[in-house]
Amino acid sequence: MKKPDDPCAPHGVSCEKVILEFLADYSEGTMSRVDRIEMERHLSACPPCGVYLESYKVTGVAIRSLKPREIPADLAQAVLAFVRARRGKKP
Amino acid sequence: MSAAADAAADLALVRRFKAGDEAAFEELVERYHARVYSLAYGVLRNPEDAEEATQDAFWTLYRKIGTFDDTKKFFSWFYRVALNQAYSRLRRRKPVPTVSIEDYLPRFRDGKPVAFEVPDADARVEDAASARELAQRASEFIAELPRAYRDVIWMVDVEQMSPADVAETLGISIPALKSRLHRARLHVRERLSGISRATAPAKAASS
Repeated sequence: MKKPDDPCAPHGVSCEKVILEFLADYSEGTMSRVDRIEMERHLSACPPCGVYLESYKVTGVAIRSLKPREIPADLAQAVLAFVRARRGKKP
Repeated sequence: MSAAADAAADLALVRRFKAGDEAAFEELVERYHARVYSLAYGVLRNPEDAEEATQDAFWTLYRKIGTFDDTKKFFSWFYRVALNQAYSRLRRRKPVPTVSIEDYLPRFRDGKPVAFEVPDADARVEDAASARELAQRASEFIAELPRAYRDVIWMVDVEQMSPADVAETLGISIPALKSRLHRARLHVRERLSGISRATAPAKAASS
């Protein structure tokens, strides 16, 4: 059932469904063809959802950029030294 | 190396270690220290604490390997050990306030999303300092999430672990993982758009 107060209802799927259910699969390209067509029809008629999609993508870029982080160069050796020291203390 | 080959190599090392071969433990340290450190960093956000949590995790592995069931996947068991060590260390620190996942859900007005932009898709990403700042804020907004959401977004989006591996580690279904991941991303998006609204009026007024 389309909500009568949903301005996007004539274009099919509601904004809430687009954002709460479709957005992740759409932005990752893992959506079924049928849903993708419906999503794209909605986006072409609904600028606010277009803005939302763009900002969701920008958010994803920001989050993924957190990855490059230095692992301490001597970490493996430090771990082994720690374990050997602890093991030595065991009764 | 494929996931199946990785799992087989893990299992071979675990069996050797259980049989008392210390060199196998050293190989497990070599294989896993960077990933365990990254997981711990996601919880603790501090290099020194992440390093200490990594040491704790391997010490637990050393002592508790006998309790690991060889029929299960080693990585998921060990990642749970590592996460628990990191959270144990986190609890000893001054608590960081968390928010409810309900607090920053997308808002709709008359059925339309209230869709403020996140500080910029193009210009600011080209500006390295601004991109770093945006990432830093995203990191803070991830940190304030409840653990169930924080672990998922950190492991999948930051650490780029496969959703299937994360679901197995956390003991949840793939649909549950996808739902948590999406809600966590929506939360970060909503919070970042809040920064945009706080800093953008002058720019908006002049355009």
